[in-house]
Amino acid sequence: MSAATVPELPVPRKPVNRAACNFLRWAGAFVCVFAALYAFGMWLKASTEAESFSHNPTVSAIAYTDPVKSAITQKVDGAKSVLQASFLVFAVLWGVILAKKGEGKLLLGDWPELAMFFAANFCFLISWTYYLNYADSMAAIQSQADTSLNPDDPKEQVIPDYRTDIIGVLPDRQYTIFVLALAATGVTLLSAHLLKESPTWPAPTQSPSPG
Amino acid sequence: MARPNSVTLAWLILLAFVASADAQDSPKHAEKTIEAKATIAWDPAALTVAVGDVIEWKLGAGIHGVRITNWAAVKDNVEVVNVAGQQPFNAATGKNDDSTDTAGKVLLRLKIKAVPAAPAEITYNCIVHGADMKGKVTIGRKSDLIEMELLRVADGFLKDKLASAEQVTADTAAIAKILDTPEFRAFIETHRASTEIATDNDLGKAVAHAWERIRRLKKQKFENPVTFADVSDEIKKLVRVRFESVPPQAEIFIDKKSRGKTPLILFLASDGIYQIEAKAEGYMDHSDSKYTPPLKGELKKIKLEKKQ
Repeated sequence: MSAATVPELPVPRKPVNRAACNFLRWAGAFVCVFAALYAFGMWLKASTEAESFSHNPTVSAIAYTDPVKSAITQKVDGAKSVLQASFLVFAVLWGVILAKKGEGKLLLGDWPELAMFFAANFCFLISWTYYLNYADSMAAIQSQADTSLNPDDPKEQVIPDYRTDIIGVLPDRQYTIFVLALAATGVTLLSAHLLKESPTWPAPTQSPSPG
Repeated sequence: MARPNSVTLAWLILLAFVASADAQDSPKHAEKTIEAKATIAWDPAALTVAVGDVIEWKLGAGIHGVRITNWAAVKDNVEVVNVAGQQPFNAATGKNDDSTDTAGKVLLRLKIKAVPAAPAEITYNCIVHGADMKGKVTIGRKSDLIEMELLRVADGFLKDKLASAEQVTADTAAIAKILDTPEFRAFIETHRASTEIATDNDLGKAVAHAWERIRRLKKQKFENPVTFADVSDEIKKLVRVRFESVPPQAEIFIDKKSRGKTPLILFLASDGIYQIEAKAEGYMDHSDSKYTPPLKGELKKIKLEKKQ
């Protein structure tokens, strides 16, 4: 006597709470746009700081010793690692669009997704700008290595202090903006995924109407 | 709501971001022409340019050639740009070996690579007419040039507005009030095209100072703003100056800001004009209001006099 096997019935998908999802997607878009605006604000602030720096710059000198050299290498390597990580995440973002069938259409076919996507790209660009400026400035600083004109130690070398505000702040900002870009990328991909997984999702989204 | 959907659109907007970032950082460089006239004069005889600008000397009329009279002092800061069909220029001696009478012929093209040591000028004359036909090109940093241009324009504007020059220097708040008006803004806009710049004008300096402060406060930007990309260029211009004093431990102020006590090493811009002060207890203050460090840096020794 064999037990009759009862085929398992498919579990019905939970109905999508469209209103909640819609709200979340728009909220995500606003957060991403805010992140992009924040990054842009930082970038503009850097220009103002640069203008003020260029008016008779005065930078303290520090001895160009071996520990300082390795500290500089470490700082630049750290910034480079953040840059490489940002390339990776950027590649994932674009890879998903280009490689996954239908994902690009979904991602670029809706305003919230489009806003998130461009906010993420914009944050990446600003983050790269910071890296380039940092690398360029550090190279300029090290090229200044020269003797300190110290009569007691004529061979002692000094460089402009690389921790000076206008330079020292660059890798921190690069990292902050990278984190914003990472968050924007995560939100974008998640939102696009939700959109794709919702078979009953209506074709173009309406913006949340006030009433 | 319209449905934007294409990867092309994505790329276009991305490219627009890149382009706008690039436009923000690209310095604007000008080309300026100095023409040799039949009246044995250069037009203009005085010119102010910034680093990156290109200056072209060319023949308008007459028989002329150009000779840079301080070539040894400026040759490392400029690049001779050769143009097809130009009058040959001898880069060793800094002059055209022969004169020409071909109207419109280029005598010399120079690109400014860096600001030469003070007084930061290229002086020149005609190889035929010598000192009777001379001219001068002043080289400055972009930010200085903007300030000087504002200075000149503001100076002209204020002549009609203020009772005397003394009033200007005494009351910067009053000037600020006058300059912070739509009328002055309109005046600036109409005069911005002019390139002639007044120099060494105390009245104008006071005006420019006031205007600069307003400008910074309001974060207004005029042409050629300094951008972040310029910072590394500024760093390249830094030279080290070691301050030592008798007595030691004198406090050094650069542009009114304390920077430490001697012996002290600082990096300062080789094209900057700094106000340096040294102070020590029981000694008279030492002050140098127009200090520009030499290109190779220096060991600057300051001797303070004891108070009576």
